[in-house]
Amino acid sequence: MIDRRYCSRGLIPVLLLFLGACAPMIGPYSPTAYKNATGLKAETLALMDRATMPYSQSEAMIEELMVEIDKAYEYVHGMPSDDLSARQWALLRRPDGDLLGKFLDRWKTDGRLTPVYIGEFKGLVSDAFDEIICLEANKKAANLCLK
Amino acid sequence: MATFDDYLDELQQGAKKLAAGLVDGLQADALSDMNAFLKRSERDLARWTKQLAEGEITTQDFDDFVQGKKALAEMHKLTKAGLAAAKLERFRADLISLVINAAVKVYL
Repeated sequence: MIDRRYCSRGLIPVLLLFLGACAPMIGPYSPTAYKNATGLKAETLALMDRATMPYSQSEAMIEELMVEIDKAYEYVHGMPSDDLSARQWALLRRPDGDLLGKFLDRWKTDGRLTPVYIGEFKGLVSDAFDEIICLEANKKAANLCLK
Repeated sequence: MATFDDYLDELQQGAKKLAAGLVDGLQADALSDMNAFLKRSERDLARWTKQLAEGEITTQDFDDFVQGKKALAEMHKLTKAGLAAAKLERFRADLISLVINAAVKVYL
């Protein structure tokens, strides 16, 4: 039978070695990443409302927004152990993807979009931002934000 | 007039046929994925099919919405994986504190 005290004494150094050797499982909470996500959510949804008007009238604003979204992606992409957040931003911004990229592509192709289409797609994009925000918030403290 | 329940039945039957082409081990996973997707999307699908039936949206719009919902499901998986990792990271930090605090408590 194993001596419990021996077991405890042996376990702790092994545990410390194990804990010290492992890289972080997820990056630290970043106020900048959180601010980027919440701010860009509001800006993106406001811009989507303009899609009842011709794409050409909002082209400059769209380009500016996409630069900001690219910056937000690059920010988390450069953070250590933040692969999951970077993958979320990548899914959201991909030009040939099914979220913001799809909406902007339809707007560009069709010239303008219907209020019903805009309303429904805003729901999808809003939820996508909420996923990014939820993950970032949970790096700081457990937060019941999952739908 | 077709109802949303008819649509769900059609989906379930179609999914079973599609899954039948998979090897045994993957069939249950595929159907489970399908059910999880339907559970998360049921309210949206009900609204979108109604909009489609009433001519408020086109087939292309409906396709865009469903593909968007699928992309959202991928994002949700990443969130869940991140939440689990964050929980383990906090556990690890707490464990280190425990190791230190226990030593202080017992030996000092």
